[in-house]
Amino acid sequence: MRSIRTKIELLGGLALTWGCSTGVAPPIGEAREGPPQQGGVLRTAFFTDVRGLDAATAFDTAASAIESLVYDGLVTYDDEGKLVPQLAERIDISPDGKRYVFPLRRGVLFHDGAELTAADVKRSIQRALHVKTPCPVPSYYERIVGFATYHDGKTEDLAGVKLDGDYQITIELTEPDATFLHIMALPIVAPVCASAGKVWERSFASKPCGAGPFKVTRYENGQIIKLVRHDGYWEKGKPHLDGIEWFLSMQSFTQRFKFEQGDLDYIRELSEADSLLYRTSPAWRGRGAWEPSLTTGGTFMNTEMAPFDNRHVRRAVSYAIDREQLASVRPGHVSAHAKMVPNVLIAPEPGYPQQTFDYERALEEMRLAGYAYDPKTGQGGYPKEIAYLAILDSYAQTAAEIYQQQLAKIGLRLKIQVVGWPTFLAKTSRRKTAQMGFAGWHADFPDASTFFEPILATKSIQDEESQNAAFFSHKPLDDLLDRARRSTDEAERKSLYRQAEEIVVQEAPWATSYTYSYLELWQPYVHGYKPHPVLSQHLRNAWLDRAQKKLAAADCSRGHRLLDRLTCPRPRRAPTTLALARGFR
Amino acid sequence: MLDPRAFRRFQKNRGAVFGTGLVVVLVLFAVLGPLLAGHDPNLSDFTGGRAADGSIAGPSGRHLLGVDPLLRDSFSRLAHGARISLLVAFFATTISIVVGAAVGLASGYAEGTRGQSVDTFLMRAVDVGLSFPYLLLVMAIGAAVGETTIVTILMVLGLTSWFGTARIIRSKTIQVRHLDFIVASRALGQSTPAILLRHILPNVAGPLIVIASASVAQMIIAESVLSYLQVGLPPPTATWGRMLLEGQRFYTVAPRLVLAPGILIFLAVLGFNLLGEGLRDALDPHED
Repeated sequence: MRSIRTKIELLGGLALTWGCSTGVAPPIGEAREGPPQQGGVLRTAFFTDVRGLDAATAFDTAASAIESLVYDGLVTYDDEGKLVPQLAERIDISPDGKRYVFPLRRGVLFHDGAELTAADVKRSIQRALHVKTPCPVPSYYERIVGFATYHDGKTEDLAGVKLDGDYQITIELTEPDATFLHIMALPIVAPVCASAGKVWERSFASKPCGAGPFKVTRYENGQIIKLVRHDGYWEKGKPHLDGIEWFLSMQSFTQRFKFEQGDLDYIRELSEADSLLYRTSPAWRGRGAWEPSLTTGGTFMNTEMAPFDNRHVRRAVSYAIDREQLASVRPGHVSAHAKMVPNVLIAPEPGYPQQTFDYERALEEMRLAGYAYDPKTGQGGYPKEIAYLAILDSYAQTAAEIYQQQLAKIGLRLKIQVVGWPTFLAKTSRRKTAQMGFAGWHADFPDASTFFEPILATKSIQDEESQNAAFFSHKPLDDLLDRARRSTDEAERKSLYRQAEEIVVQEAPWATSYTYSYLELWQPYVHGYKPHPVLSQHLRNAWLDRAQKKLAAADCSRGHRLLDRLTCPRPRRAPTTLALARGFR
Repeated sequence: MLDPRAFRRFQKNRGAVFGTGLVVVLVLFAVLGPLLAGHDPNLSDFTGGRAADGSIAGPSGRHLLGVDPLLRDSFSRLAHGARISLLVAFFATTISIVVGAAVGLASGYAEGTRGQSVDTFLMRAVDVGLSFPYLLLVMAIGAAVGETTIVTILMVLGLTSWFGTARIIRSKTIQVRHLDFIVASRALGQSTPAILLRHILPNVAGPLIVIASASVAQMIIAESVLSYLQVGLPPPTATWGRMLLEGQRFYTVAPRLVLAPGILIFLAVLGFNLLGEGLRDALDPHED
């Protein structure tokens, strides 16, 4: 009997030690100063899958991070977030702001070994804007001369993009565009190999080819994307890494443990609990960084589908959402936010138009919509269930459950449908398919226009691949956005975007609710990385101190096998702490 | 239903008694728990759901077992989860047993007669059903149905789990069919349905009861797996599998979020399995 009890106690002790330890493992190795080292493979992960890597069509956050490593553009952002030439040697802009000349670097090689010429640049731009290409934001490029006839399929040549010999390209605009260089920095118009063809084909999404520092050698949906160094890369000595491996569809808590064991070198999708542990761990103090929050999150309402074709219902939703409650379930990462443009880009002064939480007004709007609801009896409201699309294993799913509670109080009953990232994108971008769902937008470039045009302008509505998930069409808003794009006066532009915010408050195609910040962590042996002010997970300059990384393999306490862990000296864990300091950042 | 000798055998089996006790406690928890919880399982407590240090609230007078990551009362969710688990398990088992018994009786009674083709067809259908991995089949049907409700879950579970039952009941039916009293019944002109229902079914009821109690345990696990894999009932419905999923990301700081549903699933499965084994031993005449 005693023997059995001893065994049970031993097993219980093991279970507690194994499963319920409350610390986080200390960093692996030390951050030693020194020149960049060449070689090594950096490993990281996404909790989502990646739909595809065709520069012309893949536009979501997950794909963009990888695209910025596979494709180089004519222009890009430096470490301070300023626009600089990349494949162009320089940028010459005419005084009227309608003509851009890009002399190209010589000797730039694509992944297939071919040399980049001006004809490749033109072919890539034409391919992206071709009528058959499901480009998510063609309207960004509508000011290029000849865009309308080309994008409608009436001509075979985009007249505004001109070749000046083999190594210079000129782009002419119909009117000045304050965002033009920003949109030329997007992967959408990045030069792609000849294998991409002149017209979009679905197959290129899984075998992308560009002129970036890494090329894709393996792409398995839901599993892994492997990048290896492009030996012919134009920037001498770059990249430092032999490759990058991106594991897909990996849950955040799995990422954490793989990170602790040295199987992942960089992570950013920590759960709330793990994030707090790292933030309060003395061993990790001063390590990692918060990614700049250029994100607006909330919920979209499809204005072409009932009941959100009724403006009062949309306004009721925007008034019914208590944004502080949303923030309270993920302290540190989520902040209440009630306007389209993140505060990093336009800080709201007093009186700035923002959506607000006002329960009584929400009930009044429901009454005006013809769906009066009595909170005392629970009678009334919209009679049918509303399908709400959320993304699996994400904060969007958490937010959906809170929206469900909050909107039930005004008589809107949500039925949550949790789907994977690719399904979510497919459904929300198709006309008259998704009634309501998670809405999130990360800045394509650091300008307020990116928070309106692709997601709320009439011209961004498409039957398929529409970024305007609300299918919101509002002429006064369209006019404001056009004027803001044309203007080069920053004060005027700011005023116009303020007016645009006012329209969003009044019409409520989105109920903006929060901003989300990611805590990025990397082991001390990863060098050359810091969060970029514009580009997410910008790993192109990263390098590894491989001697330090080998410590991970030598440290038996990080082993996978039970025997390893039992025979190893007790791991040097950070002291346990459940003091989850709220404002610790 | 048990004859006195079988009942005595059951009473002497400590495991069976313990299992019965667990099942009774579980049923009481499912019936009374939600009434005693005092909290809506789907409502977050934004005012009292955080401890003073900002962490999610642990057990207290306000929340007996603390709150979950969405600040909802854990006890209330466990109790409502128990209702769903038992409801799904009992009804899915009923469907499974009814279909399995009907097919098994029909097939066994037709075997070796002019209706042999019926037996052949039904048994090949069972072979096909058994050749599919059970959970994969359930997930595929669940995905095809699209909208998952408690009815679709229990229908899917019930209609994909009767194959084994049909096999066992068929073989038992073949044994019973050749006994003298069945031959006498046929000689006296009793109809086939009457023979099946009045004479054969009572004689195969023992195995059916045993299969049913083991099946309930399997259904509890299956429902939990579906919820854990997010192909079961949609959020925010409280199910033990979903609670496991939601709690696993917090198990380093709040292991109770994983332990509570995990222990309940364990006890429920243990209880029904011990009960099933006890019934099997009690109904086995060789035990005397």
